[in-house]
Amino acid sequence: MTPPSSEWTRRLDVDFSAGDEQALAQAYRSFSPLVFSLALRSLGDRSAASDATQEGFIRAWRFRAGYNPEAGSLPAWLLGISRNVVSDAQSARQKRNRIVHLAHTAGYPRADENGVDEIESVANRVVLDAELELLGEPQRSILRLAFCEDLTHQQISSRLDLPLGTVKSHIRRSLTALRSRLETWNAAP
Amino acid sequence: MQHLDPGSISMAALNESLDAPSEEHLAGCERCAAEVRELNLVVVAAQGDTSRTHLESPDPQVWEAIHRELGLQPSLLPDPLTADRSTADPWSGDAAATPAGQLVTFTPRGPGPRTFTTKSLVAAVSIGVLTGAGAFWAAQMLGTKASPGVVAQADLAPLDGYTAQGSAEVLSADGARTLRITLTEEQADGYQEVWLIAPDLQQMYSLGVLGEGTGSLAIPDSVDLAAFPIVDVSDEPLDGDPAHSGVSVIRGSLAAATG
Repeated sequence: MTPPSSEWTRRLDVDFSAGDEQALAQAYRSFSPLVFSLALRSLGDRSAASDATQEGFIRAWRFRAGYNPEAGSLPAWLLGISRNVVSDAQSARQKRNRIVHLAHTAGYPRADENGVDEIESVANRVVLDAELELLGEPQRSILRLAFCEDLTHQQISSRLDLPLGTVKSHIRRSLTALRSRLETWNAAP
Repeated sequence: MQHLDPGSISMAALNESLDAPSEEHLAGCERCAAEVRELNLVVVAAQGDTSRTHLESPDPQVWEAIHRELGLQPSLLPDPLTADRSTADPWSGDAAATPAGQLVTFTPRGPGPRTFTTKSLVAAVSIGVLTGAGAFWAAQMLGTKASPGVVAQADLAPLDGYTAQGSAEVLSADGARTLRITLTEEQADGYQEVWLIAPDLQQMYSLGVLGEGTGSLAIPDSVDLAAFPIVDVSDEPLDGDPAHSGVSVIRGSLAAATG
């Protein structure tokens, strides 16, 4: 399928935090397959993954007052909450039955050499795309050229007609900011 | 030992080659190499090809349960994953695709709302929006009601440094809307100006000046309350500048009146 973040916009971050139910439906449309797949990968069966997905969206909506669209994108926040829900479900299950858990997690996509599996890569990508939107210009264009077109600092400077020093400092600050946003959703409790 | 400057660390993280002395340093310095690896994780994540990754969709019962548990509006019952996009997507701007009885948008005409980007106000507004969570979608229904009387109301809360309490009501009669606003005391050093502000935190309309006690101000027909649900009273200095001063006394979000 296409990257799930493609139809998500900044405005929806704001609408969600303001309590617009249409924005919740759109969030579900854009991100529930990702949340469900992450849960399925960790929990191993559709029933538990369904419960976790349901709980993730319900928590996100009920606690939306704690989400500040100025501070980060909704996908990062929603995925962080979902990860907590999955993690709670995992530890509850492990207490009940360690062996069942081990049996069920076999057969799902495994981590690559960097310790990040495919679905987690999608989640990272979704978070990054949304956070790139938040950076504003010219940072967004600079980072897109660096990431997607693989241009050097010097080439970006020529392409956008910006001083090399400006390009350098934007890239440095933006990379650091994006790193901390990725950590936010990746931070397991 | 002279470590790499942050700019060079970023260049290395993006797999750009550095000058020979820097490359040599990086090869022998664990601290700099660790910083490069850390930022390179972002680059790898951004460049990874995720287009072929298969994601599983949850079953329709999952949305059903969310809808039931949160008591969402009935029109949102169809599973968003399979619902027709033209009805599930209110952002298209296509009024013809809006289901009957839902959001009715009045396009602002004439001079547009002012834009305003002062950071302090934006920060303060976002708090107001979050406090008013839940009020926004309700306010979307306002444009559809025609019966006289109170169609929406807001409890107003003082901002830092102020103690005034207040309330605001939107009254509708013969298609004309009025904002009636009551404050317990006047705390402005200059004069009090009343605004309707958008949740995008960028745009606002001035409705006029408020005296002591209760005042009524006309809401222009072209102002869509769904788009400008935040009632704000500012302290305006007598400086002849028509823009919002950035100093707000009291604020609240409009919600559809109940009963």
